[in-house]
Amino acid sequence: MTDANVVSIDSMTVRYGRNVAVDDVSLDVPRGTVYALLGRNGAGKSSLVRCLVGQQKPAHGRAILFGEDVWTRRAQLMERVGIVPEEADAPPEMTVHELSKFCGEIYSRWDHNAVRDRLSRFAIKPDARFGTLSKGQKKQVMLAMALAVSPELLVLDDPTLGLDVVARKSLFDEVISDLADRGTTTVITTHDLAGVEALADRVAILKDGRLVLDEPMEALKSRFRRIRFPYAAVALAAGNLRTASVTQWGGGTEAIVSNYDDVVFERFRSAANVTHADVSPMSLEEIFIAVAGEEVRS
Amino acid sequence: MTRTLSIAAREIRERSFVFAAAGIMAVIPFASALLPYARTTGRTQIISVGGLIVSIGFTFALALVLGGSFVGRELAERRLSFYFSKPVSSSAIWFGKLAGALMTIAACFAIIFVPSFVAARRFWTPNWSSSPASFIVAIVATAVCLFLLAHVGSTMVRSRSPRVALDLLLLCVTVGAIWLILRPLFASLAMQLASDLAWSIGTAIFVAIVSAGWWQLARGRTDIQRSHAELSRFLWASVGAVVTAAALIVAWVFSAGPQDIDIKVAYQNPRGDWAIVRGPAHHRGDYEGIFLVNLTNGKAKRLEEGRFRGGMFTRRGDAAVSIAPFDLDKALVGRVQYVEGELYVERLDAPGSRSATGIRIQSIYATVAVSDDLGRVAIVERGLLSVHDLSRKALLGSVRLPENVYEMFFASPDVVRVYSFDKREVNRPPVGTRAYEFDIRTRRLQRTGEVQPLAVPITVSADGTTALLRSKGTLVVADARTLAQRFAIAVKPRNALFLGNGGIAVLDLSNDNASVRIFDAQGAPVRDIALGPATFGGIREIVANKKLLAAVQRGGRYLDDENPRGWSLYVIDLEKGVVERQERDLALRSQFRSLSDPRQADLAPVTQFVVADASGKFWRWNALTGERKKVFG
Repeated sequence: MTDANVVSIDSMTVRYGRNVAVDDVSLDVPRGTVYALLGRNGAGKSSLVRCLVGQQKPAHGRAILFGEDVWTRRAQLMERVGIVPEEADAPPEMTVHELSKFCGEIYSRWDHNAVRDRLSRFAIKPDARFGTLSKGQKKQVMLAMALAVSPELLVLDDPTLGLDVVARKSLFDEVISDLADRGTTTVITTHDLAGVEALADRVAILKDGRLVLDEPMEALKSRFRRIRFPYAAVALAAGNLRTASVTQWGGGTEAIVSNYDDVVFERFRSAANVTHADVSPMSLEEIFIAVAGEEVRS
Repeated sequence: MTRTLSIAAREIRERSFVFAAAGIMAVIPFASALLPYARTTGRTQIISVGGLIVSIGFTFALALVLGGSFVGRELAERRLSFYFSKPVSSSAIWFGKLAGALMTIAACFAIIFVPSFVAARRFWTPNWSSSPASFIVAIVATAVCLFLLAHVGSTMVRSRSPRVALDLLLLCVTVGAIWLILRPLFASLAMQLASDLAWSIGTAIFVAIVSAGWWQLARGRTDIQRSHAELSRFLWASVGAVVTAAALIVAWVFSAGPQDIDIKVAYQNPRGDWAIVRGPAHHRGDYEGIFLVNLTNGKAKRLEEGRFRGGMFTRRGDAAVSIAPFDLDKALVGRVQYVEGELYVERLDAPGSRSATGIRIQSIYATVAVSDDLGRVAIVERGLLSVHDLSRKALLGSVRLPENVYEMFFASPDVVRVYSFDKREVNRPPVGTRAYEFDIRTRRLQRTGEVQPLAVPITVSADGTTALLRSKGTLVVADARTLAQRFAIAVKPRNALFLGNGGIAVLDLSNDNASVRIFDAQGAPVRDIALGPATFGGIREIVANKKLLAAVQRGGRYLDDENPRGWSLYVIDLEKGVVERQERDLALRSQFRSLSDPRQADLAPVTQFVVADASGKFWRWNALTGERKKVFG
């Protein structure tokens, strides 16, 4: 880990009885990065996030925030971290105002005005009881609270879960706005891949508890391509092109290549005498499905 | 601290609705007092009793509900992350939540209880056995215990972990271990020490539970499985340490040897070579050690079962007899005096021979006599005389006695003689004394004599033929079998015994002055030896040939008065009629208990006695030389 990394996870394993939820995962989140941690349900994202913020002790390994072990220094480190949990955990009988007031007593720095402004933008009344709010409003309140400490690290654990399109957009807009203002390091787990695609600098994918991918968004998107050969069955392996999936249909072939390079592909096409080939970039969602979802396809 | 208080305040606000509920409950006693039947019962009484019942019921129920939910439910519902995602320590979370919940419970109790207490104060005050403050503290303390137990139970159950089975097992082991630790203290009648230890264990476990809650949150945080695991680990480790410490304390208590006790009571056997001593052990509360001590070599052995009925020697002092509860657990949960006991007999000339006779005795206060050959034992309880063979552990015969037994002995190996009270009316003093003989061979009970009015046998000659009776303030010399008077001596006897030459020695305490009066075998006076002012005392034993030991007390009333001050010991030369030796402020602790056998011992004279001096120290005192030696060693 270097000082440039806000988050470092070192060989972390999380077990529940005999089940391994997170299996020997190591990763770093550089300062100012928006880090998207993706994975299917049960991939181990929430377990990893709970360990990341010191709420759970891993069976092995450790999480480092700002250079300090989060398990032993959680209380101090949480001054610098804003968290939006997967399930809104604020007491349901508290009003939004009481919640803000309580947090103001807990945190050494707390921006009541920022909370008020954001709640106003979200059209949430301060005297509304937390338990009476809609799911989207609860997430918005939690986000307002998380941002009120001007966090150096923002952890969003599936913040858009169960939200409608409008609420999702509103929430992401707020995050983007904050990022634009302060460049907060952000770790986000989500199933809303389209939403996070525009946000994330770096992407990691957990699959069955193991980290199968961890790289910058641009690099990821540049190396994944969908290639269609409409008239021929083509063996891409001969061209040093690694395929994430290959589908034969009619007389043609569709392949998803995970190490696409223009030069290499042109060399392959010449060598294989392939005249017709459609190469198209892939969205994050398509890449995710290719990497994490092949058992569904099979 | 600020964060702890903030959390406590938030917890209280979260449950503020229970205050409204408590307010409604507070009205119930007053509303009940308005019902029609209240006129006959008394409105004040209804308000006070109602307030008590409602406040206690609501408080205890609230304690259980809050204890079961304040951490356990939030863990199960994954809401505890609300606190853990904030810059607050685990200590602040635990103690803040704990303080909030406890203050809520206390406030609800006050909301319900105080109005009824104030309104019915006049009824309460005279009916309380303890102060209101201690009463309130007891209720709140109970509520806190219920709260913590509910918390522990809730965490364990809500985790749905197989570890619960281990918790239950350890709970059973703990309860069993505590019982096994306290049991010997109760068995030794060290009730205060047992009580103090039980309170200490309880307090330590209370602290352990509170600390375990903190440890649970500090180490388990939002993971309910781990939370349960950490709670169990800390709790059972702490409880294990507490139980181990308690066990070590009890082991230390029972490690007290004879040298560690302040002898309070000593029973010396008639032969003078053994004593049963007992007394409080140093720094061990009310625990009293009881030992069988060989006065010849100072060696001692513990005699715990003697606590239930002292220790007793047979007439010749050749065996120690004790009764221990047959079922100790039953004894401890029931009333000790109504518990079955088992008779133990130890032959003093065969060390280590102590054996359970297998004879069960319904009451530890049964009357017991052992034959001179130590082969048989006679027991009277609840009016039933039974005779057992000790070697065969067999019942030889039994018979129901018509009256209450006073004393008895084996007149021969096959005949038990019983002196009983003739009680004509229930709950009236006895009006006469009767003698019976039970022949074991024929299993017949025969009345052999009667004397009216009541004549208390002072002693019976060693051969069992002649008895000295105290009757109507005079000394009567009678046939021991028929109680037929042979002659009377006009003396007011406090105590008397037969001398070796057939004469009789009497301690007379008339006019608060003690004198030993000697009579010949026909009752003719021989000489009087004045001892000085005294209000109590006794002739203890023949010290040596033609010498007598008398113990008298000025101002005392009981032979076993613990204070040696005021006691004087006199060694009297019977032939010369003089006091050969006088020891002031020295009390005899040799009481020569010999079960219920009234016969004198036909033994060699005893010269060595266990005594206590004015400072409370015990000595082996030589009556002929005045030399004092330590009791032990």
